[in-house]
Amino acid sequence: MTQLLSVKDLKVNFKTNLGEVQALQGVSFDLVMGEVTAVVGESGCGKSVTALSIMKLLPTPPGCIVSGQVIFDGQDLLLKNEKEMRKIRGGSIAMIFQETNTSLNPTLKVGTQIMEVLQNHSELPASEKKQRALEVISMAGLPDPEMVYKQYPHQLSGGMKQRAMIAMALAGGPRLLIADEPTTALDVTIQAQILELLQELKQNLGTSLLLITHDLGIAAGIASRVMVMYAGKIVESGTAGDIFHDPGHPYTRGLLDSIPRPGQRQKLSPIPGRPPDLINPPQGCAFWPRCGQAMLICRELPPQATNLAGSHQVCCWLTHRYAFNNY
Amino acid sequence: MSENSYTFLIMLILSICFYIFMFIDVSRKGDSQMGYFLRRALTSLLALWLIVTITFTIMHLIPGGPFASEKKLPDAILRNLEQRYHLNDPLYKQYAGYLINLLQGDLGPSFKYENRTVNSIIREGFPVSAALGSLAIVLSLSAGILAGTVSALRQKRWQDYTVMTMATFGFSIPSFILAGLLMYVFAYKLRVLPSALWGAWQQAVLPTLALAALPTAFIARLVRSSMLEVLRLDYIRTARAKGLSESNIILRHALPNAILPVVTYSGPLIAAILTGSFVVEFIFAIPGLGRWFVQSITNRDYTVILGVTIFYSAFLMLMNLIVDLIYIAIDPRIKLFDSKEV
Repeated sequence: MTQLLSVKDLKVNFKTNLGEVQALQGVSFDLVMGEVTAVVGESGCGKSVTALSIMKLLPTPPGCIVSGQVIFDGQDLLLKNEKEMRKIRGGSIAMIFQETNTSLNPTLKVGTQIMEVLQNHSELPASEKKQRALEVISMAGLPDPEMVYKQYPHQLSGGMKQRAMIAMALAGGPRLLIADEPTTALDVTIQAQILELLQELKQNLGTSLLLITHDLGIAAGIASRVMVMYAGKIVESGTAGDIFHDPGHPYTRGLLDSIPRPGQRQKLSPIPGRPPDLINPPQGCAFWPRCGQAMLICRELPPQATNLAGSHQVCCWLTHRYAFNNY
Repeated sequence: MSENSYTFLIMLILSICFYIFMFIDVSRKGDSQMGYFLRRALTSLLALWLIVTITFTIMHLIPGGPFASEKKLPDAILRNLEQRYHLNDPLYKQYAGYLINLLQGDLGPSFKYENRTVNSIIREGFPVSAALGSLAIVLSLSAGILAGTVSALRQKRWQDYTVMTMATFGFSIPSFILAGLLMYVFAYKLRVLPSALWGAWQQAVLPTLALAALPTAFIARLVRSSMLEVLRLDYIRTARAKGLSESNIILRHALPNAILPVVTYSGPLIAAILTGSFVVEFIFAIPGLGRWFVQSITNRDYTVILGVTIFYSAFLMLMNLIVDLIYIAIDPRIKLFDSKEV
């Protein structure tokens, strides 16, 4: 188990007219080489901000990385300057985005957009670059690479556009691929195909994948490790088995209870309330106002991460060693 | 006059009907390339006919005529002149005669200046106007796009404020006042540039500045706002995520998308430069077509008014066609006709 990326106590704020939004409040995690890690949580919990901070792509202002470390390959990315970051972006770390329709430049051919990556990151001789571009297009599962190479994004379907995005990401030969809701804009069958493709690529190329999604089903299907985020913090992390079969945090349990199951007779039980205001986050645990098992201490002090079995970590007072073990 | 006005009315209604009819037809989708251009040429011809008719009508409705002057001509001479230029024919006959000549490419003689035909006036005047106009267009496009981009990239910093303040001035000062100001400062006070006439490059500086000020300001504001919009789009973030350099992102990814509104504006831009040149050419005593046009109206030089109007209209239509073609070249999503390209 070698660590590819390790994020330590990352804090990110956004300046708005209403005040400072504390988007990330000390996020820490490790990514293991060659694994798929999913980050799940509802919108606004800081999933995308985490991804963008790793790449240092946060729009600053309004965003601001307050503190923390992002260690990739033994080096802290947050200390690197723009020029050094440009070598890493698209090279050893690539990213694919959610909005397939707007994430490709409409005025440039797909081939041109892939070639840009190669011109920046590849040391292949010029003559072989096009060959390589065609190769990544077919690796991304697009039929007729020569044709796609010459096409503009608007001539491709939604699923094909996402494949073109993936081809672009693969061109730099990344060791870490960050996928920010890669299937949200696609319909279900295409979703399945794209996920299959990502898994295939992980197996064949040994690329680690950081998958950001709000869809627990996707996380369950593809990820070996899952992190659950709530209000700018990771509240629970563990193997997919830990999270889905033995959830430790009331929020994770709430999420799992909100999924409709085939043949289910009872009403769905959603999590009551809404996510907290991150300009004035609650003093104690961010989840206590919505938590059915909240205790007095939950309002007073933020819980620390507790290790359950193996790498299963939960951030909840209920799992504290002095608490009644009755969750 | 009443019989004449009926004829006019009928001619006018007829040509408008034809024109509208053609427009309904031209908006058909899925044309072949050839079909598209043919249709477009035909619509333009009909539009020109409409323009001729309207101009002809209005021209004859304005009191006075080419030979009305403060010194009253003897009746016999006036009648002879009118005879010579067919001005005493009924109007429909004049109109028909003009159209027939027009079809043969003959715009007729000038009524005011003997030995000059409208064709020769256009041949002499247009190159001068075209040179001045091109200079102004090149200046306003390059300066406007540059200034707009800079102020977008330096939003809310001094560069942005400087550009936007200057743009507001350029936008709100009419060209004739600017022309006078420029003349006063550079020709009269500083004596570094000539104040009028045409020929040497120094003589082109002031009129070009006066003519380009407004479009430059407009383009700068246009580019600034669309650049700010484009820079927020997802594909710019994608470009950053690919590790492209900032200059590459601006020049290859943002600018081509940000100048699309400028391409749209270039139709009206050319029109603005044309109409602006009427005034500017007049002030700087430049022997261009614009000055001829202004003079012909005060002179009631019927054939020159008509001829220059037709010429300008045809020119504008051609320019609009070119703008549409540029549009396809920049934005591959736009389609005017079915082409075989993938």
